Amino acid sequence: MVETKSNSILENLNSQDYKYGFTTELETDSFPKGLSEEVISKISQIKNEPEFMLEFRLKAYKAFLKMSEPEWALLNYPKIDLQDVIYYSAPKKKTGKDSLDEVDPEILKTYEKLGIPIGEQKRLEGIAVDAIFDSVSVANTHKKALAEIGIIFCSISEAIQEHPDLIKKYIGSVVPHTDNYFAALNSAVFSDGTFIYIPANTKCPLELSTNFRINTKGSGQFERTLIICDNNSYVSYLEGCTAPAFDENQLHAAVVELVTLDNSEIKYSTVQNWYAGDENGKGGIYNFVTKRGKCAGKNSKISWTQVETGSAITWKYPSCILLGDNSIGEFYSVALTNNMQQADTGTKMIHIGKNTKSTIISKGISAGKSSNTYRGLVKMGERAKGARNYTQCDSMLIGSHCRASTVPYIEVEGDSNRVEHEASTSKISEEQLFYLQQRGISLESAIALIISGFCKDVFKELPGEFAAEANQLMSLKLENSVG
Amino acid sequence: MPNLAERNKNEIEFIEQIFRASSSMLSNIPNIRSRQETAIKRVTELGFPQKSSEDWKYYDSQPILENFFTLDICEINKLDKEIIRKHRFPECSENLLVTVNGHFSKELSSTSLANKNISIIDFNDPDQLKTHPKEEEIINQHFAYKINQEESFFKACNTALMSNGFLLSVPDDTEIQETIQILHFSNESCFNQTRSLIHLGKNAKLKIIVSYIGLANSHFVNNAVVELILSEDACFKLDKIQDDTQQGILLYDLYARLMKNSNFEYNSLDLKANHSRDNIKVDLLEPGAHSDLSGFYILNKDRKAHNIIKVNHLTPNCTSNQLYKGIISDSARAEFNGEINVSEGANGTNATQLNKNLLLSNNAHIDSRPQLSILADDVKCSHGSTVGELDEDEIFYLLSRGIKKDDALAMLTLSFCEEIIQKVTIDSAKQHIRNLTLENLDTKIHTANTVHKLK
Amino acid sequence: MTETILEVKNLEANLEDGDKILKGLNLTIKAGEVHAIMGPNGSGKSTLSKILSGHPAYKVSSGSMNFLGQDLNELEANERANLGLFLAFQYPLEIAGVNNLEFLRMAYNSKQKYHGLEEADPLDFDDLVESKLEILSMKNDFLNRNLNEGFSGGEKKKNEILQMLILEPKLVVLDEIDSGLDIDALKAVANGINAYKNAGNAVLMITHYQRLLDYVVPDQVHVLSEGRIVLSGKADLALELEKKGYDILNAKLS
Repeated sequence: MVETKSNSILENLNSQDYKYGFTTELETDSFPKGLSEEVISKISQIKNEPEFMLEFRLKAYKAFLKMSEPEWALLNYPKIDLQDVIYYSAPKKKTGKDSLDEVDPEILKTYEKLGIPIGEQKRLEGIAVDAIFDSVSVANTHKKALAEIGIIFCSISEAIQEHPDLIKKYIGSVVPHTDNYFAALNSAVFSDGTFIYIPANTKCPLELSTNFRINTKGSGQFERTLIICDNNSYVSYLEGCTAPAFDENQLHAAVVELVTLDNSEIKYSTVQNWYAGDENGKGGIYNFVTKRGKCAGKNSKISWTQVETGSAITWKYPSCILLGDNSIGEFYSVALTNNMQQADTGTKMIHIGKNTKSTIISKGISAGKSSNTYRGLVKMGERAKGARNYTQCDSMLIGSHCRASTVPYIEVEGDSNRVEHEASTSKISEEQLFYLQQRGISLESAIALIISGFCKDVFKELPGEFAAEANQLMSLKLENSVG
Repeated sequence: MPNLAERNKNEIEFIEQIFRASSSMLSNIPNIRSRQETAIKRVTELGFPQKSSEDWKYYDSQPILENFFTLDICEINKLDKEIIRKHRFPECSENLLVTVNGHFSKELSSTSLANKNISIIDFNDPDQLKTHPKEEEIINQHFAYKINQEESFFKACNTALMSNGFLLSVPDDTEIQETIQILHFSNESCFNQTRSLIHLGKNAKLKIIVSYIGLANSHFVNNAVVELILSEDACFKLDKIQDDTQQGILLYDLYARLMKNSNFEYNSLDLKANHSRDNIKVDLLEPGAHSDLSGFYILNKDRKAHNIIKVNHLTPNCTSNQLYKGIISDSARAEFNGEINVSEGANGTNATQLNKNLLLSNNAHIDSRPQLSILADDVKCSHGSTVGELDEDEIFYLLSRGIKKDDALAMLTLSFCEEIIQKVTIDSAKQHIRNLTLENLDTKIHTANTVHKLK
Repeated sequence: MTETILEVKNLEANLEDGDKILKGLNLTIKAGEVHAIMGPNGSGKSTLSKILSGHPAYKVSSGSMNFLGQDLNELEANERANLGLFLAFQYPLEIAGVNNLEFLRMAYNSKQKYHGLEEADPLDFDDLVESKLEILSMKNDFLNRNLNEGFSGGEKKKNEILQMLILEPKLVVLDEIDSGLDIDALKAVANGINAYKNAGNAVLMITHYQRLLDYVVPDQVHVLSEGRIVLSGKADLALELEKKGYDILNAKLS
């Protein structure tokens, strides 16, 4: 029967290799494991940070010490020993901020293997890349060209040095250092990340992109991204994430803050393919990420698109605070879990301004013995007159040992606000597979085709070439899998 | 708001008082008694429900704590027969059961029921059980089912403190044609433990309409628990009306266990409850079982209604629906917290869940949580939730046909709830529900008028 | 000698978990021929089409199915399709989010790849598809919709025929292609079948009604009853069946 076949296909998924699981042999400067005020001061010192940053970090650390790990998510994992994590790790050789000639050739090779061209001659047209390797930014392309039109695109460490006023004004303004356990931890120990500032009346001509790579065993990654889009401006940003396949779990606790002022728009896309662990759930990244955007200005817009395929644990709720009147928040998500992966992901749309609108499209696919949860909040206060939300969240289950959950929270006050929430579950039917097979399409291609059809509404939100990449990534998860 | 320390102190005191009261409430029937003893243990283990628990996140239990200390555990009270006549539906005058402050009243209930092949057993009457061995067996098997694992604090309280609820049992292959009405009155500021166990034998059929009514200006907390067992092919329909409860608080816990091909229909109509919380759990235990849960809440002033619903598909090929609709105005507040849980292996499940709300004022509030949790792949589940106002185009359409604004609004609002009202078994009850709805709408239409500024 | 396309011998088949549906069926189809299979409800007509194309719910218990010299039983459903066996479904499936044109190209290229031929690039493929659309008097926007999603009954059937024209199979099995079609759609579908037909391929039509056979004239008509072919004849057999119903079977057989 096809059913048993498709089950075995999906049970065999784990046999396919994680393409990005290699390690780069490099000499690194790493701190010893452990977290303390001293470690935090040392990070700040190495980065030669101004006093206000150290204060920010220590304040966050104090708050963090009073907090406990959140337990409400539908996730099952042993408590993380935060003293067993390396909080700072950087390649020893000098990183080439000005010329790529100075970048360690091993690192260049790594990015080549990842398919991210950062070498001058191979740069992708229309995309500027910031490459973050463990705790530091190792390369940043197109910086000068962007600077000419006033766009700042650099690592956050650099921004702290060169644009302290912007940092001081905006860091922690969307995700306060007291926001949650992992955000507080990040605020205390973040090592690098990306900073983008789009000045008023500017449409960023390039896709901006960061590639995150965790390389060193035992190190955590705590990056911090801050994007500010001034009045009447636009930027599209994409992040990609990979890590080597280690047997032990690694912690990734990032914070991303977005701010849009009047009439501006940020489009933020993520293709997350951190190492997911092996088929028995050994190893893999613990991905605890706080992403939030504030539509501070009127008529502004923040759009999150995420394709979550990796990590052992995903805990992630890219959110929008719709403060400005007529502002718009969007969340498009595909989350695929397989084997022993667990994802608890979704969004929060907080409607505060008048006539604010939000759209949520979430597609969850669970296979193997994985667990996939959509958790989302739509909140409208009485001030938000004429607010609108439309939510659609669909789940697909493949095989009979996985779990799909939908946990929406809809909190509405006021008689002029509207919310519409729809959800469904589906499976790949035997008859659909037979129909496609009868047209000559192999079973595994048929499954991939149905899955990409299921995800279409989300993939079409990704910037051109990345839509194809996402589709490929989904197929890759199904490749070589007929047993 | 009282500070946390004070609240904690009150919570502890609450449990201690229950502990003390329970010793005098123990039943003479050994099987009930032993479960009451387990229940009191459970009360202390569970502790007073906290906001940090997902099911209590949106519920303000402070009024319970505040009221509790002025409450007694009441004895049965006298009740004027006139009041009963006023509240019973004419269709049910021969099939009436009455409780007052949680106590089953034989005197006030109709006597003719005994002839109808239904057993009604008073939990407080050990002699009656001696002549009803079958019913005794039902109580042994099903009363306070799995109390040692009970998760509901208030249900455990009820078990510990209840003194005379009743068992209503319909034998195999018996269809009761007439609808039975149960009236639960509260007329004193008491912490009432209303309790019933309903058992339908194989292929038995039964319809019940229940009303909860508060009399005088009493600050009661009525803590009602219903346990329900539907054997193979049994059909049971339950309409529950929350009538005027004055200042009272209603806690209602229904746990239904459905066997093969049985059918359960439940309609909750929350019309004038001051503050109510429905905790409904349905276990679909054998293939072919079907449950239809629906509800309608119309809330004004500062009333509150909470519906916490769990439908558990534990076996293949069961179906379930949830449809809850609400109209909320003034500064009233409603919660819909529904779950569909599909267990591993429960293939062929078909489940739906829908919550629709009309908010008619700027301070009206809804928290809606339609949730799914699915562990089988061959299932069809859908859920949805909408929050909105009356459709302007529909209002305009009626106005353009010459209908007065107030009438148009009333018409549309009633049509919104008619879908649920239609499900009620008894015609006079339907009319009663419509009247109460319109009564509630009066103030609301006034509010809505100021909002819908049509050209 | 004309090439034999399909040869079915003493075929017996049952559902994966039980009932026997085909009970010794024999059928030979040669290149250039059009066959029609008729028969009362429940006689096993649709089942035959599914068994030929490899539906996983059915199991062949004995007998053989030979297609262009290969044993069909040895092949997966997609391999049978690539080899040139096409089933037009009675109820074509809807597949959400899958673009019709992309699906067609994927199916076409699967076949090309199977035969070691070059895959078509999107532009060349567009030309190919457009030429076929004309035959069916179908509009271009048809291609940009999702596979059968929200299609009317007639559109779904036309889409089946379009796929057939593009995949150029050696044998098409049309499972009640005429059901639910108005007369214009029926003509368009018949046009498509006639355009496809040539001396090198063959058609097997499964139908209840004579009306399709007015447009696509069969060389042979078979009557299927209780899992085997009980009567075969020329095109006029279908007319007779239409007039007198299946009761004549008993008369003829006795």
